[in-house]
Amino acid sequence: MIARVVRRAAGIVLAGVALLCLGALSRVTYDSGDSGSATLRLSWRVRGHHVDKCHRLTAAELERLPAHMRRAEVCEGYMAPYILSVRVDGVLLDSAVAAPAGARRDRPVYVFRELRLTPGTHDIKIGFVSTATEVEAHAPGSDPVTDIDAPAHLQFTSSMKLGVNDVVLVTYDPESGGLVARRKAPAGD
Amino acid sequence: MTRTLQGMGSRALGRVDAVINRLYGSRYNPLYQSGTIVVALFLVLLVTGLYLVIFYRIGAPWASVLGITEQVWFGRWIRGLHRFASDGVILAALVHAVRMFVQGRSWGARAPAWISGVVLLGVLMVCGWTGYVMVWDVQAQVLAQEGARFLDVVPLFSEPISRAFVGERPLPSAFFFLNLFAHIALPIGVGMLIWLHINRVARAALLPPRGLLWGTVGGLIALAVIWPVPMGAEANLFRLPAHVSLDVIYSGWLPLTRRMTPAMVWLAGLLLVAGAVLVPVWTRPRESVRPPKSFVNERVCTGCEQCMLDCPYGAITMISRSDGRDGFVAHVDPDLCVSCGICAGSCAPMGVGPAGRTGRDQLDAVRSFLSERKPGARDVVVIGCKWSAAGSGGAGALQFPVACVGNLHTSVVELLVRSGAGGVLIASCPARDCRGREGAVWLEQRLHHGREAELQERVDRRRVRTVEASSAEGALLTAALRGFRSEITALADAALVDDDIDVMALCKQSQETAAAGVGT
Repeated sequence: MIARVVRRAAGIVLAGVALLCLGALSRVTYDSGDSGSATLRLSWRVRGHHVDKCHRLTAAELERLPAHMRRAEVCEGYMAPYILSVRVDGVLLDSAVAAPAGARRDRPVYVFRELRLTPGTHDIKIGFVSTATEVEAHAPGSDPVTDIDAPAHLQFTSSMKLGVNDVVLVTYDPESGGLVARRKAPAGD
Repeated sequence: MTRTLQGMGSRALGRVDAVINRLYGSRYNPLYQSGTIVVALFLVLLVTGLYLVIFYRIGAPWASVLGITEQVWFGRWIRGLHRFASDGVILAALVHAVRMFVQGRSWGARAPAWISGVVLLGVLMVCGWTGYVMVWDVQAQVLAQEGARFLDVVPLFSEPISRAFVGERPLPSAFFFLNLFAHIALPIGVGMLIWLHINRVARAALLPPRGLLWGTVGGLIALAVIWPVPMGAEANLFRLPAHVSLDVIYSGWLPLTRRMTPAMVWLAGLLLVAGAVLVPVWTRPRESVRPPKSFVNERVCTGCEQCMLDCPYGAITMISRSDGRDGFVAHVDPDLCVSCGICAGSCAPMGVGPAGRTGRDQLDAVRSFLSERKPGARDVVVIGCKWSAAGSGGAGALQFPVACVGNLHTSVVELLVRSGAGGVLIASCPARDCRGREGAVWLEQRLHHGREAELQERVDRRRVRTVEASSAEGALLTAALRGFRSEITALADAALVDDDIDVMALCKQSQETAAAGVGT
């Protein structure tokens, strides 16, 4: 009888401990390691310059094509990549070629980068320059830049104060046509 | 390597089972019921989820969950129960998977159940992640950002998904709608997967015994009331999530993956999934040691259907006879047969079973056993399944091993008793832990409830006993043997006293008395 009571009690205690473990497992505090730093987040999307490289077919080339495919001029287009550079307090922190998306590189250019910084005031300079140069755009056989909305050169220069765990977003503002910094989300939809 | 792992796991599990059996009894051992607990908790999730979804708003996810949490009478504990049940369902599924793995119940005809179980576990995890994202607290933010980081390396999306969680644009309600849709739609898939998982087993138990069911649900409710689930801070894409309250069961991988590149995470994940899905391949024994499938001796089969009724895997059907006689004959589908041998014990004329384990093979084995060791009137023969305590040796009795007590043909018991054995003690695994699923249950019915092939009436039931004792419960078997031995000794002593009585003289005296009565 006593043994049975002891077993029952032990069973209840074990069930209680198991439940407490379950409860504890569902709320473990995790230190992400980000504590004490700040983040400069770059995120934007632009349609780059569309560059067409065209050339006129010679009579011999036209002859080789079926009649219904004969066009005097053949163009191959691509979106020009951009070169991104980020300088913080005069130090080049990041530099990369931002290529257009898509298998044929004909989609917009997306930028998404997060740079950890120490909290405090920093001089930030961001450059985003299209590789579709004037030379290329006006090269013989090339169409000039076709996308008039595409920015050729974006620049962001600012001295900003970043608090502990702050995230500052630098993004492209189509209205102003330049890069802007944001410290909070825009109003919801 | 696999066998070593399985052996070590099986021994460890056996010890844990023994402790829990002692505390709750084998019927209420939650480790034996892990599969049914998954279903029970899934139902709890559906019921509590229905309540929560009434109050959830995709336009204000965090605020609506906060509103639910602030409902002191219902919302708070229902949300807690939903959370704890979702944790419990994963834990129970993992216990179930580990159990099947270490017991070698993951290959051959059981492979579809294993694979559907792995998929089920994956879907449950995804379902849980969508649930955590619904709350849109800091944990949700980290989960969403990490998930997006992994998805961005998959060349499927025209725009990086991560950009949705940078604060550049407001997070659209459509995101939360899709998330909610997935969270509600996936359980439908879970229901179908559960059906797939169990459709190859006959008489699948879906829910645990009532006591365990209400004990589990009651315990989780108590936990939700006493230790409510906290409400994390609202996700803020412009603050680094420095300290995050994580649910280890769903988000325990975050600290690890945040240090890895997405490609490494994909590689590790794919290896893990491939390893799990391929368990049926790498746990399958070599062909030379693989147990043979059951076969039917058509000449002997009477078409009684008992083997079909008893087969725990639905592997036996009745087909028309091909030997010119009328009626049906049993047919074993080798793709479904797991070689449990239950059919061998169900066939009175001994016409079905795996090669070497049919009733006839068992009778041959017991005759050979009796020719070597002649048990006396005070001896107890222990018939033990190899996974039971008898299989781990000892107990100091004559032992006649069988693969599973569900294989045991009752004629073996009868032959042992008729050959002079004082008693037969049959040691089985606990019924819920039977490798053949229903061995112990059918044995009990064959011995005491007239189920075919039943132990004949002429066998003295006082000389037959069963005991459930898992491999780590040797003490249970020893105690049962000691008690049974003393009863058998008493029976033997009583028989000796009977021997002192001159039966012939008593009969003669009785006849004379009767004759005198007729005369008068």
